[in-house]
Amino acid sequence: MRVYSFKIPKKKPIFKEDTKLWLIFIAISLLLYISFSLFLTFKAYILKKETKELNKKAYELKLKTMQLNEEKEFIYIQKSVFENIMIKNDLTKQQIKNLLDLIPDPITLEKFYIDKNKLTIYGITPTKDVYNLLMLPPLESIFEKTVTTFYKLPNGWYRFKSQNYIQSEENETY
Amino acid sequence: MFLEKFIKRDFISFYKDKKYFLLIQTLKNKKIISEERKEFEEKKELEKFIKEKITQNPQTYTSTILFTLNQGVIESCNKKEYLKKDIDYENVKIVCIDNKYSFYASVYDIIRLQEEYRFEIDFIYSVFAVIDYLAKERKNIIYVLVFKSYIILLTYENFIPKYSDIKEIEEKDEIDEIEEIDDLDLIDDSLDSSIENIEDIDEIEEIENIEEKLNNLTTGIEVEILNFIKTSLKEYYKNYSNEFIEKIIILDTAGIDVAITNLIEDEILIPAEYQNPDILQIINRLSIESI
Repeated sequence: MRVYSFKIPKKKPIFKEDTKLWLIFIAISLLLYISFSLFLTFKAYILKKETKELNKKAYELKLKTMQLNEEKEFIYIQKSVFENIMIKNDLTKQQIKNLLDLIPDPITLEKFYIDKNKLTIYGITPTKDVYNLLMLPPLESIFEKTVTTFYKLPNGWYRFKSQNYIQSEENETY
Repeated sequence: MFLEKFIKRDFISFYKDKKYFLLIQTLKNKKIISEERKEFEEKKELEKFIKEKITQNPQTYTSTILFTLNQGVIESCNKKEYLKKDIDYENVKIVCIDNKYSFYASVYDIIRLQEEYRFEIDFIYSVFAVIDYLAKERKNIIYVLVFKSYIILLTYENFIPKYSDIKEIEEKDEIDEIEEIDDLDLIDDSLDSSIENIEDIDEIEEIENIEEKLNNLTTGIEVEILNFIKTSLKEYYKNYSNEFIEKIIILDTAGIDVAITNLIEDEILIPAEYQNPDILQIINRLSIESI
């Protein structure tokens, strides 16, 4: 290549000044766009991971809730059982108290058994009349059926066994 | 560079020859995709046009040729040769071609040319460089590049440019021209009178041709070219070479008469050839090849 010119030109810019500015702006906006999209991708990844973990946690909590519900039901049952027992105990207590209140002074109570619908009382009474007058009427008013058997003691007093039923024995068999 | 394939480059070549002539060629991937020619009467118009183009595309290269008298060709790149020819080596800019010959021009002329225009000129060529680029035949030959204001002459001896000369064509005064026209009128009158006596049409045409030739010989720059070649040849044979010139090639940009070849052949007895080169395109080609 022959060079004939007396002058060598200066290196010329490829782009105009305003084109250069445009290119810089475009480059910056592209960079921002890329970094923002990267940020969003990263954020989405993190959110996905968190969602997965939360889903796992939710499933675990669901399992736990189910377990707790079961436990709660069991506790409710226990509670009702306990309440029943308490009521029964109270009732029994009341019954015992009532029973003890029933016992008149001349009669001595030796022992008694309380069943579900049966009360058996063992005791000593000076006479049968005392029993029949003071003890039997209240018993008969409470129970449906009252069966009393007397055994004479050597001192002339009577040992008695009173069996009181709330319901007849026939019904009970049912 | 990868981007270069997609970049548009504008190459503007221009020169002042009475008015300003300009060619702008747009290149992409080393192929010309468009070109436009312009002529300007005023320098301001040229400056405005080129400045606009430079603003539109920073990859615009401007080129021109130097017409000053303080330039020439030396058949060597050696400093000694310059000193031998009494050329101020320190104050000329030299372009060495193939380490065989060189073009030179005054540094001050180059600076003056750059300062003449209000835009940056990227390439400045010696007007002889344009001939050198064009010259295909280089053995004992004279190239005469004709502009409206200048006649440039470059002589080759055995493939090396040996002798160069520039002549500025003086503008003739209007009075001289009028006088010449008056003279011509006299010739016309005499011709007209002779025509009256001749009835044959062919003879009339012949006379008309003679009239044209006479016009050219007396008014055109052809005579000036002829005289310039004559004086240059004298100088060439006297101080530069003993070898005979075998051919003269006229490179015309000014629109001279093609019949100049006949005139030269008749007057100097050397075969002559007429060519009409596109100087602006050649200047651009020189610049494109330099990038």
